[in-house]
Amino acid sequence: MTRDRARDLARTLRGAWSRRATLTPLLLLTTVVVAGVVAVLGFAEAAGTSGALAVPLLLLALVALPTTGRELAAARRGEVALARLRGLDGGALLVLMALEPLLVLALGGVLGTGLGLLVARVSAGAWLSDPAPPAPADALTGALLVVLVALVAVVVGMTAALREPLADQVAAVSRPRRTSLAAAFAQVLVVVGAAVAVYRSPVAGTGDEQAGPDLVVLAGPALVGLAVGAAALWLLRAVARLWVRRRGTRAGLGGFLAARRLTRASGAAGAVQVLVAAAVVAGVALTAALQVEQWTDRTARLQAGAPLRVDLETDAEPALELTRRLDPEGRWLMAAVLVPGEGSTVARRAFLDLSRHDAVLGDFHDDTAAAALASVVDELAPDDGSATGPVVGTEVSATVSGVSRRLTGRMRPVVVLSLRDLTGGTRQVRLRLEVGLDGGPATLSTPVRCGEGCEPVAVTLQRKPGDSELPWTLDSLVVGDQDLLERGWAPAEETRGDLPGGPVPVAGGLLAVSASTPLVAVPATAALSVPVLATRSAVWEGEPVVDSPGGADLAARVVGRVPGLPLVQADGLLADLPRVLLGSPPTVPVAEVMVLARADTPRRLLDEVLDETGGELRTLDQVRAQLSDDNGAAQARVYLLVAGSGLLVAFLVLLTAVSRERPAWLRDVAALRAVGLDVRRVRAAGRLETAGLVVVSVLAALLGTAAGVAWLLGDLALVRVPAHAVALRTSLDPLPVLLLALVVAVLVALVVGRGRRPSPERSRPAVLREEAAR
Amino acid sequence: MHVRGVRYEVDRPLLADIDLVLRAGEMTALSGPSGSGKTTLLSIVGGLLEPTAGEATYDGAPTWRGTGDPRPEVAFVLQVYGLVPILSARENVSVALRARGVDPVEADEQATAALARFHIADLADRQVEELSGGQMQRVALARGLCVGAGVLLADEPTSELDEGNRALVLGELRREAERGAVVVVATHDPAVVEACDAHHALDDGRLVDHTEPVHLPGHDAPAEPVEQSRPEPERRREPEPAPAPAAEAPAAPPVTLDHSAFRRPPADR
Repeated sequence: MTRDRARDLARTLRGAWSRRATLTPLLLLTTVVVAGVVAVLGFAEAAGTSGALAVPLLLLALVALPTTGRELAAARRGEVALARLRGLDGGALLVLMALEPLLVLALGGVLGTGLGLLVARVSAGAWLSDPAPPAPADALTGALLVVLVALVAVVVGMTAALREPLADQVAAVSRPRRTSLAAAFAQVLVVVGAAVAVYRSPVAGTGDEQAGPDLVVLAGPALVGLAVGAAALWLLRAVARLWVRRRGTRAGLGGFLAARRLTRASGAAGAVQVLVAAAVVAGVALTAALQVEQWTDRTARLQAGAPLRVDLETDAEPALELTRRLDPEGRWLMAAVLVPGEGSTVARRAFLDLSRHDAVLGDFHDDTAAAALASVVDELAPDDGSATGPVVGTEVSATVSGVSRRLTGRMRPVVVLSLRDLTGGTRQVRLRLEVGLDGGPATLSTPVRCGEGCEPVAVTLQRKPGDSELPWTLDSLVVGDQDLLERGWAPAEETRGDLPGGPVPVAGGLLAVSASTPLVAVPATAALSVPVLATRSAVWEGEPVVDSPGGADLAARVVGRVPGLPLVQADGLLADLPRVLLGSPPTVPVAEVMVLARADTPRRLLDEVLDETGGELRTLDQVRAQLSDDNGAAQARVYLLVAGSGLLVAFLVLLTAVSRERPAWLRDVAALRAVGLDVRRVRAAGRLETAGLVVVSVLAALLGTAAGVAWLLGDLALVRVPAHAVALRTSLDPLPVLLLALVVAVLVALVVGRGRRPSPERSRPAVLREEAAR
Repeated sequence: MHVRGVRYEVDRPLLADIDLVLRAGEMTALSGPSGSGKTTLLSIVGGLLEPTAGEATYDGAPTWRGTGDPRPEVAFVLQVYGLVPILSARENVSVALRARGVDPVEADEQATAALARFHIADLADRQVEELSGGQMQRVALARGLCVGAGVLLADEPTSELDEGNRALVLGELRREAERGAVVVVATHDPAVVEACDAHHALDDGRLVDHTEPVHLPGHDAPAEPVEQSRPEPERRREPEPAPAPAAEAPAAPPVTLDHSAFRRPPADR
């Protein structure tokens, strides 16, 4: 018994070896598919992402393998016929036929598994910053399943050939194979599948992440590619048929023969459908990889805020003080605070020392959603000399003057300046002046403790009892080198009847009208409010308000709305840090205080920051890698790997189909030469046929890729967009699409062109005689 | 058409010392058992194969052109039909005409007429793969005959045909001969041999027997067949004298007149 089995096995191996030309493509296909699937599953285990990305590759294999099975059975037609004549039928015949492909599939499975595990290991090491230890259990199970599914696909392909009428199997002349019901059904299924994938795509994109990716949507690009490829080939055949009918009789013989060949469902044309599908998957994958890469880079820039970032365990003020002390010229360092308030979009806020924006950040956010920030920095952070913000100085000077000469009476104006310091405390400075009878200006100076900056909050003008009731003006009120009257001031209260609400702002300053009560002016509302830049998602109920790093409500003035901002990303507000720190309570505990730095910040300076704060330096690359790991952005690269395997499968299918067709094609050439056609005209016909297939496959690949990107790419869930991040917006990118079209054109031109190049020796008419002699 | 001292070897000799004269206006049969070299001889005569030694000439020029392509004056009806499956029956025939420079529309009309000669005009638009063996053979015959070639070489042209169609084919071949073509038919079929004017029997790559019509001086048409026996193959190695004009009777003695159509192969065949 054992000897019999050994003999059977030896016979099977001998048979397999004799049919190695037919079995080699199956071996290569299996190896590539299993390697692709195992690589995806292995990477998914290492990255904690979904292994379902292998679905398009499996679909392409499912289309390619039954064809191989049919060809295997066709190659063994004589053997099958003999077995059937000897009474073998049904399951026994199928087992006899399936043994050989099973051996090949098993070998391909082993080779593919090894290759796939290697690719998974290399890609995980290259694309993940912290890959999980390899645990190839799922990958091995996947490989086994692929081999079993492939065996079923091959057997399905064989079944049709086995059920061929015995008379046809023993006939010397092969009969044309009509499209079987199953093949027609498969084509319909592909079109329906593509439509369902497109329909489900928007739903899947908003679906439950826990449920995993939608397999139909993942298979969508391959289904769309197969459908577009089938439609393009159908159209090509229809056009060729019409052309032959309309112009075939008048056209050259080369064109006529090319068109006639294109009207037939040749193996090369069928393989082009698989190539188009693979190109569409590759086009979508390449677009996805580029756009996810771009999204990751831009999101990392927004998230990091700057090329270098040091997170501190401190309040905002010390951070601001640190950067100004270590980098007084403001060339390298910038203090920043992120308050990731989760209550509402406007509670999420970021504060940067925007006076250093140009020096430290420069064009860092130029191609991100926060690109508009650079153009409004001046509005967000006025220069020190401008009319808003804190003032710095140790002395205050006031100049007053009468509006006219007077004859009698004294005029002793009193100017009271109310200030709020950095700690939130308020103080008043009182200046008592006297204006002469000529009404000329009088100036008085007095010390003030505003060396670290104070916020003017009110100016009160009053006169002493018994003084003249003539009006007078406050012409200047200077702290440090800034005249506070250049700021906007308004009466503190509304005027009611004869009772003025405060001094009247006039061209030369503030006018103290004739009144015995103190006249109080406060900064105008516009000057008081904090200018903020808001994301489009930020909305307020009522007037805009921004919470300071310490949580104090500050009136806000929205200077613009943008899609994204540094640190807060797509949801939140951004304001100038020094501006909001004035009078702000201590920074809230949830705030992330940091020092941002230029990429080329001197190492010495960074070391000083780290030494003083004990913080940790994070580079943009680290932020990007973390973002990629956390959100599975590397999946897009894995998808590219799948697409590459798919292209390889399609290339093998095309190569196999053309190679398998070539002997019959050479026979046709020999027959044409036997009736007087020269090789030149046959070569021209081959070139025209190749050109037709190139044009159709390129157009179909372009169309399919455009459809795949437009309808499916955005919902393939290749990356998990985290909360508050700028959404991944996909669009048709001409570069990858044109690149793929070029690849398709080159592959078809090379493979089909080479297959259709007649060898003068091998297409001699005498080969027909030699074949007959065989 | 002259075949002089032709030898053809591929590992072993397949043809040796073949000398033949194939005359225009005659139907010549090549017979012999399978593997005797009939198809190889036809291929050399038609210029598809280059002989190892010797040469085949038509109208004074060698038929071998160095590429394996036949000369335009030569038409083949191949044993394996040599039809192109992507074309319909009519297109298979018209391609041969278009290859010879016939206008496409005219080629289609002539092709339809040629198919009608073999009673298969109704199959003109069918793909050849859909035809039966006999129908394919008649398409191949229509294609070979329609071009009006000076030399028509037919390899087993009736192998798939019934008796009625065989008679039809032989009639058409006769018309080609009467047109002035050299018609050579390789066959196993005694009825075809019987219908031919001359007959050469091959065995193991050598001519072993032939029968030719007697060409009487002053008569254009072929007359009674003349039988020649070559029991000693070695004799064929002797240099062939210059070929006799078509109208002359062969000079080699002994000449035996046989009033039956042809002499049958020897009894030991």
